[in-house]
Amino acid sequence: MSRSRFLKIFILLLILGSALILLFLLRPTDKGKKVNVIKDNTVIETLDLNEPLQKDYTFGSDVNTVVIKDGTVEVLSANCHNQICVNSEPISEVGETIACLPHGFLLEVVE
Amino acid sequence: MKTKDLVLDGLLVAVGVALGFLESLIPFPLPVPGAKYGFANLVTVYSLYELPLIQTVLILMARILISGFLFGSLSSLLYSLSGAVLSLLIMILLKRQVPLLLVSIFGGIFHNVGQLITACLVTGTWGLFYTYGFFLVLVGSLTGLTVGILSKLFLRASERIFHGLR
Ligand SMILES: [Zn+2]
Repeated sequence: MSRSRFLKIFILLLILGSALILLFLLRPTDKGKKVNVIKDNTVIETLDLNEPLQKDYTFGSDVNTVVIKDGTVEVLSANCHNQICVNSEPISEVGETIACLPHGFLLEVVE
Repeated sequence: MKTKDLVLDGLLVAVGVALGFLESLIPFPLPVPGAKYGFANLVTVYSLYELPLIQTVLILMARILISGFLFGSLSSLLYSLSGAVLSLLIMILLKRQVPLLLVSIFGGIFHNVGQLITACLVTGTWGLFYTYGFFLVLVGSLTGLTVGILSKLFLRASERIFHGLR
């Protein structure tokens, strides 16, 4: 094998290797995203946004059912009078919130 | 075009269409309809080394159009076309420079890169590049490697079969 051919092979493999490393590092990772469950301005629980879950939060007669799936969180059902929390779209980006003001209940996506 | 060439070309198109159908049965992680792994590149690599360039291009176009009309939609045609054309261009460029295996690996990578670029253009989200880039380049080099090894085997076998025929 000639020297220049060897050099070309080497360069191509180098490009391939560095492209793979670069793309691997650029990969967006959702790891670490969490959901704070807040009741009356107090964080009562922190959930992992990557672990599917369905859970009822009951305080007295106030119930909010929270669902986590596909890296998003939403309020599936609630017995509040305005149903704004239930009608809110699922959230997944850091800083987004879903609020249930009648119940003083809040979901917030955090790092 | 001689009858022998015509028969061989037809055969290669048929093999390509069959491979394309087989791989359409394997789910592809890119969230767009019609994106594929690129195993049908086997036919392209084979003809690139065995036949004149014009025949390679004709076989490729025939394969993509037939596959598209038989199993696909307009959008899947767009994806296979962009993947195949980019892949072929890269392989033509590299053919004289480096060994077949590396040519095929880069053909496989750029098959997927072409589809990814099309997906980004169609959906208007360049973020797809970051999300799927690593996976597609990795998978592309693996299918390219597989295709390269198989092409070598086929080229060796066809040399024996066609020896004296052509
Ligand atoms: Zn509510």
